[in-house]
Amino acid sequence: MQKDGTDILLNQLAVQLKTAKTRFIYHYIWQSIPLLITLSGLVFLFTNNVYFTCFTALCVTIVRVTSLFVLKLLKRFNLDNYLLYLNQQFSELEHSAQLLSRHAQLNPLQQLQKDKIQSKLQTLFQYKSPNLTPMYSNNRSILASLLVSLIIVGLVFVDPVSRLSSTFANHDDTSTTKPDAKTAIIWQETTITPPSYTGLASQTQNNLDLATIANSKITWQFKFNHSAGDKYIHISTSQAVNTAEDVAIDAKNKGIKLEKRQDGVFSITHTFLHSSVYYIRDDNGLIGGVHSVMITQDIAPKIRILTPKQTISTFAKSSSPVLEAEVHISDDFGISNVDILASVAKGSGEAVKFRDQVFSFDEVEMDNSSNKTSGVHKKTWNLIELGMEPGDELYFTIRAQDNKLPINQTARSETKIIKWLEDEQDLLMSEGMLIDFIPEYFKSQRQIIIETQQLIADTSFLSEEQFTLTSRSLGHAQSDLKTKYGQYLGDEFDDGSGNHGGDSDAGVPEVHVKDGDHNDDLDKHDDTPQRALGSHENNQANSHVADRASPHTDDHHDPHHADNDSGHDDKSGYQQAIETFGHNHADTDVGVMGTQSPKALMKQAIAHMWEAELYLQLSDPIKALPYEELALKYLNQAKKAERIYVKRLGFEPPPVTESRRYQGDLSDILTYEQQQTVPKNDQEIENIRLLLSRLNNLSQPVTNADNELLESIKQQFNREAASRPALMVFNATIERIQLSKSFELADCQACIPELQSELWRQLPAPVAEPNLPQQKYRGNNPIMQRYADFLNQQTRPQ
Amino acid sequence: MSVELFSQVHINFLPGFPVWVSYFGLILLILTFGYCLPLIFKRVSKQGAFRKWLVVILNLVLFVNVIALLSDIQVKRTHVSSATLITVGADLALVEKQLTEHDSKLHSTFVLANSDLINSANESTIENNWQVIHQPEQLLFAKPQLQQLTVIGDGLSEQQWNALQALSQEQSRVPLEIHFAPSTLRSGPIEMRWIKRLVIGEYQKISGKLRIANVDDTASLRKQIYQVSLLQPDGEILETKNLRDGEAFQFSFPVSVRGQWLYTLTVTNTGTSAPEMSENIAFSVEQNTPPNILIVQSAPSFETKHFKNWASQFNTKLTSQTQISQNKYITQYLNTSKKESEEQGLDSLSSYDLLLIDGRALLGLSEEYRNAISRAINAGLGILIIADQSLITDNQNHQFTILSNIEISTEANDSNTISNLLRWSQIQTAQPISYLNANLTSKHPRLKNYQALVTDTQNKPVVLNQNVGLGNVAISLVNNSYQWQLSGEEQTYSQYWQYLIGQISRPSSEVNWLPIDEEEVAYVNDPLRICALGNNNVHSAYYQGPINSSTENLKRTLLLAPSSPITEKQCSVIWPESQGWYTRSLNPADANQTIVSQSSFYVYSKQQWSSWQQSGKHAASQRQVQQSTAAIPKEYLEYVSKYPFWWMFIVVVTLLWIERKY
Repeated sequence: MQKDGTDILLNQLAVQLKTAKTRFIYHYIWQSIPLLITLSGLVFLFTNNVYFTCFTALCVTIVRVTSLFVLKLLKRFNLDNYLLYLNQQFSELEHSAQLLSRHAQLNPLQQLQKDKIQSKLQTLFQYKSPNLTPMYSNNRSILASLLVSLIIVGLVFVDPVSRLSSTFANHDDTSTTKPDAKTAIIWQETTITPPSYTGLASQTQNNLDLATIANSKITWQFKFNHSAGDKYIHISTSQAVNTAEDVAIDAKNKGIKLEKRQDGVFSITHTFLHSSVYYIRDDNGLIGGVHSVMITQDIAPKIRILTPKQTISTFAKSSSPVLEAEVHISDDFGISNVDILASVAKGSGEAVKFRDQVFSFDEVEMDNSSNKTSGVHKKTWNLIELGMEPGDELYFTIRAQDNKLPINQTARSETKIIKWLEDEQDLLMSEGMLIDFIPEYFKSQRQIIIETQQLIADTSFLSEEQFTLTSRSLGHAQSDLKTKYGQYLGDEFDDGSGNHGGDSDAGVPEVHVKDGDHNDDLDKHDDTPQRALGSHENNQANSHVADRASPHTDDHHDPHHADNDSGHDDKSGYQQAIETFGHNHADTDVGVMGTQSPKALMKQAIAHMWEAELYLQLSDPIKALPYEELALKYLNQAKKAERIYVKRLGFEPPPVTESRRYQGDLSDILTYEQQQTVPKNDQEIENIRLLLSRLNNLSQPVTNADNELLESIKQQFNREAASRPALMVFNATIERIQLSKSFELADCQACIPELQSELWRQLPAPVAEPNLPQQKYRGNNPIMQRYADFLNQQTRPQ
Repeated sequence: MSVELFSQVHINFLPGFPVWVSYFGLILLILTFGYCLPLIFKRVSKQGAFRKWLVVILNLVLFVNVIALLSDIQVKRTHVSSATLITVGADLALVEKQLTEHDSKLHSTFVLANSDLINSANESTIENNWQVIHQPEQLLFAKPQLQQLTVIGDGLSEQQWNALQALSQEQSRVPLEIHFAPSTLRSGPIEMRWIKRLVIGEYQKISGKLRIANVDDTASLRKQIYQVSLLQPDGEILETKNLRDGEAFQFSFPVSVRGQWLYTLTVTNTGTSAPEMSENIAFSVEQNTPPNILIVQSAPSFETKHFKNWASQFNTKLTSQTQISQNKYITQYLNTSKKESEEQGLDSLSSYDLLLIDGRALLGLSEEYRNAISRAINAGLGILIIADQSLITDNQNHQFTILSNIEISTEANDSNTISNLLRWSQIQTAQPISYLNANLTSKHPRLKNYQALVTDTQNKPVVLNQNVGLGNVAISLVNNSYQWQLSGEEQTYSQYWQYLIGQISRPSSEVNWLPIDEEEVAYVNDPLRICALGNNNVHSAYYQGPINSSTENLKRTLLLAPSSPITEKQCSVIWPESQGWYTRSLNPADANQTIVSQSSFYVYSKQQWSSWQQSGKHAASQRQVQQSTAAIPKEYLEYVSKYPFWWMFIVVVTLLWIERKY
């Protein structure tokens, strides 16, 4: 019986033990939960990856479960330990509960105690006393779990959109891209909307290097392989303009943030006033490459007065004072308004009165009526209808406005003068009155050369149409200049093409000239031909020239006709071959300055201007350039000839002897010293040289000094971009170098060589530097000194 | 024991043994044979005569064979120790043709490591008995008694020949007999010259000659025109010339940017328009060494004003003293200070490189000052006197020692000034300029120590320079060169003055590297002698490079050794391993100071300038052939092989055994 009672009690104890074990397990699990949440949450925060988070949780769980067995935590739950626990919890057991587990023979005292304990224990079981099994409090664990969960959730939901979107994006991302893969553009589209007044249609393209008109609106649309995160467009320009619709620039100056649409497309719209370079980037850095936006400015209208050609037109008193004025006006996009500003001057001296009036043209013939970009405007001036009398003068200038918005551009032509002469007098030379006003578009020969060189350099960057337009506009400028200089020579030479007949001396351009006035009836011609010196057969040439002069008498008012007559009969190319291989203008010996006629030099200059104009009109600036340079050379020589001529006539005082020098009052004259450090000028040229030299060593990384140099070159190109938008391509290269911090651009092999070529082109003719000679010995060498002494003895005066 | 037979055969019985042993052995052998011979006779006495004589002869032969086998037999021969050296450009056909003329047993063949046969893909072109060497001198180590050398291919350079001949003299004291089988001519530019180191504004002059390889039709070769073009580093064509075979060319242009530059010379057949040859021309443009100039003038002038404006912007130190009154002066210090320029004393002239003075100011100097100037000129100072009417008309000039060597005169009724185009150093101005109408001549023309630095179109000197001591005295008739500056010809103006300063001034006393000569280039693995003009302040030197390579920053020490008799010139020899730009640097003794002098040089690969290299090597080798003398054959004793005697012994013994058996 007792034995049965003990067994029953032991069974009960076993049940309680099992309960205790279960409680412990639950407690252990609760203890693990805060740790699990903490670790998983941290992993999720840093990696933003659900799978990785779950994996971490699983690992933690496995570790905890494994530690349960490794540390043998459950083995503590055995009968002996449980009886010890009961002894501690219940004092009535008198620390004798372990007797129940002893199956060995007990002594009578132990047996008595055992029986006693057994009954007490049964009583405890019967009344289900608390503390029969250990109680584990999970409150702390629960609290900790809640707290950690709140923190983790809070951190996750600081930026819920990006985190959730990136989380789900990772879910959707079926590629095997790793989390730190580079962002790339997978689709792009650019829409260029020119200003409405240009009449140009919008165009859409995929190329990110753009060329358009100023004030064009450009809309970019991109799709990226990683659409998470912000994307920016960084625009670099010295005259950056942010229009009202631009998005606020990020505080870290990353650029303008692209707007993201629902379909995952990023877009931005920006209006450009000046050439720029730009690139797309995100928080990790550059996306794709650096691109350029070449902006062509809207040019003001061009006005060419076809007739009258001369600045001053005169009418005799008895003649009919009617003048047909013909003007060609052109603009790149359209002309909005054309009028004539005229002033009538009546009287002379202090009694002269001016009457200003605005006229319009009588007749307009537009080349293209729909675009109204160019046309010929005609006006008939009848001085009598204007209320003028002999002795009065009419000044008029053409004013044209284009259709540029918001503010149009105005151009004015040169002023033409119509004189109605008072007395029967000889027609005055055209040099009689100087016109100081030079319209702003009137280019000098040097400017024409510079622009021709620029046009040649930009050939590969310009479209055919743009190239032709630019070349022809330069041709017009050359023509205007030629006409202007021709006026000072009486504009009476006709063979402006420099026709080299077979009888002329080799190397000497033959120009048929008549000095004096226009009137062929008057006997005041100077038929002495103006030939360039170097000809040793002037006499023969004189007669030859005189013979040839007469056929051209009637043609001198029509230079175009002369143009047709001269130099273009050579259809086989024979003449050109002669000129190329046998007749080199550059070697023409113009002789000693002092014995040349300035007029002859001017005429030669104009002859070359004819050729230059011809090739420019034919869109061949390469052939025109040598003629332009020759024209400039002769122009300069003509100016020098004038000066020397004047100098010769000047008074040369007798030399001052030493005894007569400095005989004046010397009391106020001070002896002083001054010290100066001269800085180097032409920093821009020096920067170009430094960068060229630096580009010799591409393997070295970009230093701070290199960055400053690149920045200064970039600013220089920005300033020149207004007239040469093609320079933006090189700015894009410089931007690439600065962003990659290396001169080796793997994604653009030709960029550095092209930049080098442009830098070489920009270099002017070098100014020589003073330099000491180098020798292979020192002066203090004893052998050299003895040799010097020997030489001295030889050269000592006897 | 040795015996000589017919003065051609030398027999040494029992070599290696003492003489008495040889004698004893021989005597024993003879006695044995002598004893055996009768016994042989006795044995075969009953045989027929043929058999009898056969046995006797066989035994005699056996006896001789035994003596031969126990002796060293040498035969006297005469021959010339010769070798063939195969160089770059030798093709297999040429080599085989040459080698067939020599006895391969006595003849050695060497191949230079960079020859085409080594570099060709076909390994079977190299015979097993050919020896590959890296330097020509190595063949003398392999064959010290070399007397005759046949060189096949391009040949050796002058430098290589000198080294080879020197070593040969040292070893054998007998000059080499040289034969040369030249390689087929290669087309390309030859006899090239260009300046390796310049400063901005200096004119680079590249000259050479075009050589086109002979084709079958010589007549058409003469008619064929080739385009020789010089291209800038960016690929733009600088200048083009049309030439025929054998014609010389020259390109001249001012350099504009500092750095190391590779220009390209291309040769294009005008018929095909495709570039046939392309070579790099390397030179460096380095920092200028600005002079220290003293200007003394009797009155302010535009000439010196513009000169100062130009020179001062390039760190030139200028001290200008201008008389503005009888006893009043304005002294200007540009890029220098009074303290630095020292007091205006007699000793301060040693610190200046050039004295620019007008005639009137020169004549107004005190006797003491004039003597100081004379001493300074002898010590190296350069003086440029701007002539004026005072100098021409004053009678004192002949007493002035500085001017005692140059005569200035005018023609009666001539105008004071004339105007003409000027020329200097192959540059001719495009714009004429006015200058004094006077004649400049040297009073000692036989000494040839004067030069007309600048002339007009009639070759009349406008600036005449005379070497006086270590310095120069120059007189210029041009007193308004600023006309060029005002006319926009800034380049002409600056080149004029750069040229004059370069010709007249005291040479730089700074420690510096000497440039490589104009007609030389450096090649990979060829010895390159680089020299510096130093002083006691130089501590060490090193070189780095090539640029843009893995060894760009590797510093390799240069051991500079004085080059007598100019001991301040210190040189070292290096063997550059790669093609490219190298930098050499001089370090001062004081470690706190920065690098004293840095300079660059370019090393070409052996494949570049192949026609030029070939031309030079052909010429050098031909000269060696012309200067060489025929080698005298030497006598020597050749060992005769013992194999025949051994086989004879075997055969004889066998026959004797057969005879005995049967």
